[in-house]
Formats: sequence, structure tokens, C-alpha cells
Amino acid sequence: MTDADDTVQDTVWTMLYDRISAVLSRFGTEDHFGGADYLLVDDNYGHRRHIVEIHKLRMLDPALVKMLRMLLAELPDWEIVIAVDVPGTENTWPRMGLIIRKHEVVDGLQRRYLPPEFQKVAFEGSRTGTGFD
Amino acid sequence: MAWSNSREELQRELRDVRRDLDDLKRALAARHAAHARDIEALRTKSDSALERVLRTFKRYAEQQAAALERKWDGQPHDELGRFDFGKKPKPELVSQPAAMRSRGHHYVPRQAYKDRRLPEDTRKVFEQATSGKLDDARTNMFDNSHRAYNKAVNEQFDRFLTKNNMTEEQMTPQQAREFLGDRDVSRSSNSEFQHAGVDARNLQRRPIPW
Repeated sequence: MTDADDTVQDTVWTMLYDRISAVLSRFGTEDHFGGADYLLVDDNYGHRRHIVEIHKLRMLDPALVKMLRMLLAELPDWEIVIAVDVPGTENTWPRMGLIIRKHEVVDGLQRRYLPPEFQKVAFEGSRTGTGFD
Repeated sequence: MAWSNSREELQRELRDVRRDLDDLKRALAARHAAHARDIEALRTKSDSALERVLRTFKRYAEQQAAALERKWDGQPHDELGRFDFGKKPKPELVSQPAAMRSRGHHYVPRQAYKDRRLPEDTRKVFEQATSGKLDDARTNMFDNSHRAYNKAVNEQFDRFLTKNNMTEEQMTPQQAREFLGDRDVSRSSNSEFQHAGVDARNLQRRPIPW
């Protein structure tokens, strides 16, 4: 990436961070130590990506995913990763989550590990995939 | 005569250099203007996207609230229908200057020091202690646990204060550097921390800059 690309990445990253934060705060409470619903990673690694780690499964809300996806309407090469990281499941659940992009939602949830009420959750425009997609 | 010719030649060369410089300045100005326009266009589009999201959210919240109103018969709850116990969600835009900070992985996460009563110079040390821009290693993007890393570093921070018998207010920039240097935070906490796209080995290759 050139310096100009880096500047654009910085600007868009910040802009998107604020918007994602605004949307998430309507669905839950942030805590960076795992004491509430989620955390939005606030380090910019230089990628076209934001990462949300959810600590409560109720954040797997199709409405939330839809709204986050809407934020990417003008950003086709950006993605928002939702990583499931529920305290207490570290050694029993595999890593899983969603990758939200403008044109798709990669559904990497491994539903057999989830409580029954979350096993049937479905996301508009999704396809099955993994964290490597 | 020779001196006069040489002087004229020098002046001509100077004029050429000035002209080249002016051309360069104009080209740079044009490039910056185009760049600023691109960013502004993106911002405008992003604002529109957010407005659409907020409109959608409003409809969603109204539907949820209406459903819960029926279900819970008007008991007090927040705009999402959850019981709020007096705590309201923050609807305003968050304007944390996240990316204004140094780029990359922060060895001491902001959450571990932002609420501490540190002197400003000391805070700056943590603010600037980052890995720098990271390669996109494309590991499993769900391999995350910032909460575990944050917790581990936070506990190390407390232990450091206790060990050195000092308060947060007393921590000097030098001691902040010692904390970072003594315990290479990213390395010591790797067992608790795996980043999406940020391989722990990637962090280890980048030393703390002192």
C-alpha cells in the first residue's frame, strides 16, 4: 500500500469504527474484559477489516448483522468479523463466527455447539464458510 | 565575456529549476485535492449508509418494543425492549479517536490504562508502544480473544504497581518503558491471545522500540 492508500485506510477505518460502535451500542453493552456483551477491537492493524468479539450469544442477532452489512454498502472491499468468544467456552467450543461483507455473510457458526435457541438462527445473504474465507 | 555567458547560463538553469519546482507543486496540489475529494466522497456515502442503518434500527426497535409491550404489559424497559434497570444505552455516535492513535497492535491495550490516573507523558508511552502496521496473515479470523489478553495485561499492570510500591499517579514514562520492556506484554500473554490475522509470531518478530 502507498502512503495515500494508508491515509484512506486510516480515515475509512475510523469512520467505520464510529459507525459500527454506534450500531452495536444499540444492541448491547461493550466491555473489553468480557464482562458484558461484546468488544469492538480498537487497534487499527492496517487491514480493511473490523473485528467484533461477542461475549453473549444474544449478539448473534440477524437484525444486527443486517445493519452492520448496510454500513458496508459503499465499501465493497471491507469486512466486519464477528468472532464468538463466550467466556467459559474456551476449551469446549471451536472458534466460530461470521464474516460480513457487502455482497455476502460468511456463516462459520458451528451450531451443534450452540444452545437450542441459537441453532436455527439464519442470516440474510449468508453462505456456509469458515474463518479462512 | 566568459563570465557573462556563465552567469546567463546559471540564470537560465535557475529559471528552469524554478519552473520545474512550480510544476511539481501544482501536480502535488492537484493530487492532494483529488485525494481529499475521494475521502470526502467516501465520508458522504458512509454517512448515508449510517442514516439508512439508523432508520432501519428505528423500525426494528419499534417492532421489538411493540412486541414486548404486548408481552410484558408495559413494564419499564429500554428502547430494545430489555429491562434497563435505570441504565440507558448510549445512542449517540461514538467518536473515540481510535485510529488517531499509533497504528498496529498496542502492547498495552488502551482498556488496561485508559481509566488509570496516569501522568500524560506516561500515558503517551503506552499510546505509542505498538507493533506498527501488521501483515495480513490470513489466519482463522475467528481466532480471537482480546478479552483474555486485556485481562492478562491488566493484571500484569496491577502486579507491576504493587511490586514497585507505587500508585498510578506516580508512574513515570521510564517506568512505563520498564513495564513494557521487563515483560514483553505481547509475548508473555501469547498463550491467552490469538489474533484474527495477527499471528502471535508476527508480534514476536517486532520488538518494542526500546
